[in-house]
Amino acid sequence: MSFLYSDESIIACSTSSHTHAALAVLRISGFKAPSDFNSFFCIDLGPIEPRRVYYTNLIDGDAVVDDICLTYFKGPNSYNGENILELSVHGNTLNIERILELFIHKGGCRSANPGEFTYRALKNRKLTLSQVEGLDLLLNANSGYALRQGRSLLSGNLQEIYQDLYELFVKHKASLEMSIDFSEDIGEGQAREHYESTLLEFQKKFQTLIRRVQPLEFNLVQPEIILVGLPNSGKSSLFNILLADDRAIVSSVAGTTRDYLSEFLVVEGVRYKLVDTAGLRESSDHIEAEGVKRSKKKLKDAFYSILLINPLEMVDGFDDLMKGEFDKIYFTHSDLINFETEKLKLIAEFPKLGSIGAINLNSPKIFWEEDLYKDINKKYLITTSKEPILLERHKSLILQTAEVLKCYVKAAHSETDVAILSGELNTLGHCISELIGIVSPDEVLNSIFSNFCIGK
Amino acid sequence: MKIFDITVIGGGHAGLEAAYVASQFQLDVSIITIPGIQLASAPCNPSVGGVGKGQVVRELDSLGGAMGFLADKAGIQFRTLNESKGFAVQSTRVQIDKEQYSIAAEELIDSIPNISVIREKVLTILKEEELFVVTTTVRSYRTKKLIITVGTFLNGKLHTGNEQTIGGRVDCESSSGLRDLFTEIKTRPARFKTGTPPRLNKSSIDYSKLEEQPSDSSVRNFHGLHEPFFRSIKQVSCYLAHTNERTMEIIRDNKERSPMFNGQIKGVGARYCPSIEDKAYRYPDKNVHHVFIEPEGLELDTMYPSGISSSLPKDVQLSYVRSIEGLESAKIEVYGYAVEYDVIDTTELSLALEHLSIKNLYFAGQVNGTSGYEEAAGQGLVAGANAALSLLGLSPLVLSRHESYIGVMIEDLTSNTRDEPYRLFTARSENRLFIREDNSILRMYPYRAAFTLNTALDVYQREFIEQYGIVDRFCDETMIPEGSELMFEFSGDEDLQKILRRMSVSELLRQGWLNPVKTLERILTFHSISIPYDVVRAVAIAKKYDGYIKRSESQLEKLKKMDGTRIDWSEISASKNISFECRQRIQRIKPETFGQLKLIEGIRPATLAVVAAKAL
Repeated sequence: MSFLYSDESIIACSTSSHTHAALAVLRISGFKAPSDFNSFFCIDLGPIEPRRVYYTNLIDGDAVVDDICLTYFKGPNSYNGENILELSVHGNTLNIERILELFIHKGGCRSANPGEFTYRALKNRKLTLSQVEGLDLLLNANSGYALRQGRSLLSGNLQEIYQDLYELFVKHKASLEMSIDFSEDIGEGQAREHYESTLLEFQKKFQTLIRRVQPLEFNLVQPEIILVGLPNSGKSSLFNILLADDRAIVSSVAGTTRDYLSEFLVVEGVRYKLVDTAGLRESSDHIEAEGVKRSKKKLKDAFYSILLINPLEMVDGFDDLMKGEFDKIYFTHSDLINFETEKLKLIAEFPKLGSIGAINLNSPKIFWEEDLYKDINKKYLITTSKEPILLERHKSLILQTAEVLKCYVKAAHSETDVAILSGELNTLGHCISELIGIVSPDEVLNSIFSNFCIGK
Repeated sequence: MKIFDITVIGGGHAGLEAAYVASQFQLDVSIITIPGIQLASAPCNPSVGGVGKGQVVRELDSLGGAMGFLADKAGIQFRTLNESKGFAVQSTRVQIDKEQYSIAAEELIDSIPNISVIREKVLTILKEEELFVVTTTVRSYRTKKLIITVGTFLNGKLHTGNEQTIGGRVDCESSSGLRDLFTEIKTRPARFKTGTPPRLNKSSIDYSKLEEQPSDSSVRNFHGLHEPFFRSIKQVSCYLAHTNERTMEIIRDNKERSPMFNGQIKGVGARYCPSIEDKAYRYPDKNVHHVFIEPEGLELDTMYPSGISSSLPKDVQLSYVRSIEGLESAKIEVYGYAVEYDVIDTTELSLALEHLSIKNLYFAGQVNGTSGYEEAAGQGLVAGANAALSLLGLSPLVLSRHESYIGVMIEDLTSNTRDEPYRLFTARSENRLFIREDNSILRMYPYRAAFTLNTALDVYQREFIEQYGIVDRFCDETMIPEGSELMFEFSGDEDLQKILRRMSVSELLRQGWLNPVKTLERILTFHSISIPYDVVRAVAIAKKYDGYIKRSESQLEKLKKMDGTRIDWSEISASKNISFECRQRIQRIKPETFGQLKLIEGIRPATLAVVAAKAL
């Protein structure tokens, strides 16, 4: 695989190193003995006890670089099975950089690649593939649900379901093979009965899994609330009201927001990305057109979408817009004259708009904001109550397994050549093996680790 | 003193094949066998072939073995197993007349001037420079190559209830332990066990209460040069009986008297060939088991009840036999027994079945921990051919596991230590759609041709291959026009379907709704092409499976990569992330590749996932 494995010592900052902070944690992994680094510390690391915190000075020659706390984790009883040294240093970014460079230039360490610590944990059998995926999820989660699922994957919960499924597959496979190799010993009727009951058992177990995978699933790892509407419908105003600041440039000239702006918005403990899109209309301006294209894509992936309509300024493209599905539709500019008549006209034309609230963006937001947040949270609760599986690789493998299973079940009833049937069953087994991580193509590993942050 | 080129110790199915194939190279061959036993006797079931095993017999036949030839000569009931389940898993099984089978074997060996049969008991084997010295009770023999095919005779011990006798089978003495014979060879510490059912008196059975299974005249003979459907001797029927609640109750009530369950027998038996005690104790809810009543010979007055092998005391055997409908007044002529014996560690053998550290010494058959005549014969041929090829300076016969069941078996045996007797079945092959009975010549021809012999068999096989090529090309090149009226005739069986678009014959044969063999026969007849049935059948089935075989090959590629990954079992078995039970199994079996690990019974997927992560 292209993720090259070498057993050199690696170093990285495992906490955020982009902003100043009180503390930062640096990790060094893969060295032979802690005393290799004796020249950098005021204490002798030879006799230090693992899992104990030592306070000491970090030195470069005669100069004291920082005063630090260090903890030694002795392999294999460490995160990734290797010897690990964890240094808690002062969290000034410049300080962090200086210390990293010290170890790289004078300590024989190499700067770690993204996910390299965890990759070594996988190599050393401290984690399975799906635990690694869980960790990735855990570290990137923006919703409590994703956080939970990450944890749960890390502790191997989902893996257990896959393993049960694998065992049921093996049992079913055995029943098929038995009917070929021991047909005389067990008799046709019994063989068939066993074959059907094991298939049913497998299907039943698989049902619990497929229920957790919907082909059109919202992104719950980075859930987004997206604002859409024709140009000048008030998207940027709403964006600002919700965030209560002036981040978006609000202008009355249509087509100002070419790309999209986003900010985090926390609703009931879930961190959403609030996205203000470019106005959705066909445009001759190719930069704007590109923005429109991106908006449409964003709309598809969004967790929650809000459509804004200014009934006084209806332009071409509205029909097209109305084809989409929205969680919420608001009429804006209710303070203007003719609002009511225009609104009624529009509702007559698009019955779908039905009983939709209208907001006056200049009026105090207490009237509608509460309702909006409740609605967003309701959707969040409903969606997460189905316990959807969030990992893309797992989702697509489960869907693929569902397809293969469908073909197989069909063949189970029509194919009389058992040898061919057994071949079909192998395809099913292959899918489950991938799910469980028994067979995993190199590209899977590459894509997982390329997501990882450096230092993990 | 005369020096033999090749000496085979043991005149069973493995020994016979080893000597027979070696003799074809015009070498000086000898068989040393225990006096009083005929060559190729059948101490257990009176049949040859079966699922997976039928394929082995055809492979043997195509490589120049004797088993197919002998089974045809002594065959008294022919059947195709799995007939309704698809061509790839269909297998021939022939019930044999045990006496006639051995007579045919003796006649065959007698007719070969360069095989000497020595009926003496071996006492010691020594290595003297480049030669082996085999000393029997009578004298010493020298040989360049030595093949050991001693079956269950190594330290053999028989059990019937608490009666224990020393011997390799009933009324036969056993060989001494291998350790005494040949101090340099290691046997495995664990002994193996196999068993055989009581033999019933032919006229004491009420056949009217049993289901009759007559011989099938449409089953082709095994031997390629035999007239396909000609039967050498009279055909008879087999009968099907069933155990019942009472039968199983008797067995369960006498559990403490069973040597297998009271600790008297330490050896491990095959899960796939369970004794009736195994069935009774392991499946307490199941009382109805099949019992096939098979004639042991036309003249012999015994019947072999397949499926109820047992080492229970004689009184228990009699009472459970008599509880079976149709066997109420059955007389037992010979009681069932279990035999425990030593086996060698086959991981010390090469793929040519030669010992890795003692050159020129070969092992084949049940002594290698396999069960079954066919498995023994398959190894015997490989050992015999390799001994000969090596003497002549030709490259060894190593059958690929992707082309033959014999290859599957030998790779399995030599790569992995087994903890029970090894039996072949089709699920052991990853390439089942290709390893069929119908195409054994196609698969074995390149190996046979490498022997550079020119016998009648070789001429026959060359013709087969040529004709196969002709029909294969015909199928690819001949187009069936769309909707032609003739097409109705081409549909298989009763099921008439119209060809909706123009396609090649090859493509037509892939269609699921027709019988490819009958269809191709009709098409060839229509084109006035006369080709032997065997060739037509092999091509037609190959065409049918073509797409499936290609697909499974591509899946195999991916799996092979992973399965072939080497693993360090000692390190894995020390890993704390793996359950104690799995670690124990791993320590016992010592798998070297991921594929072998996967094959170990009871290995949890969690273990596989953990190991797979490391192997990436």
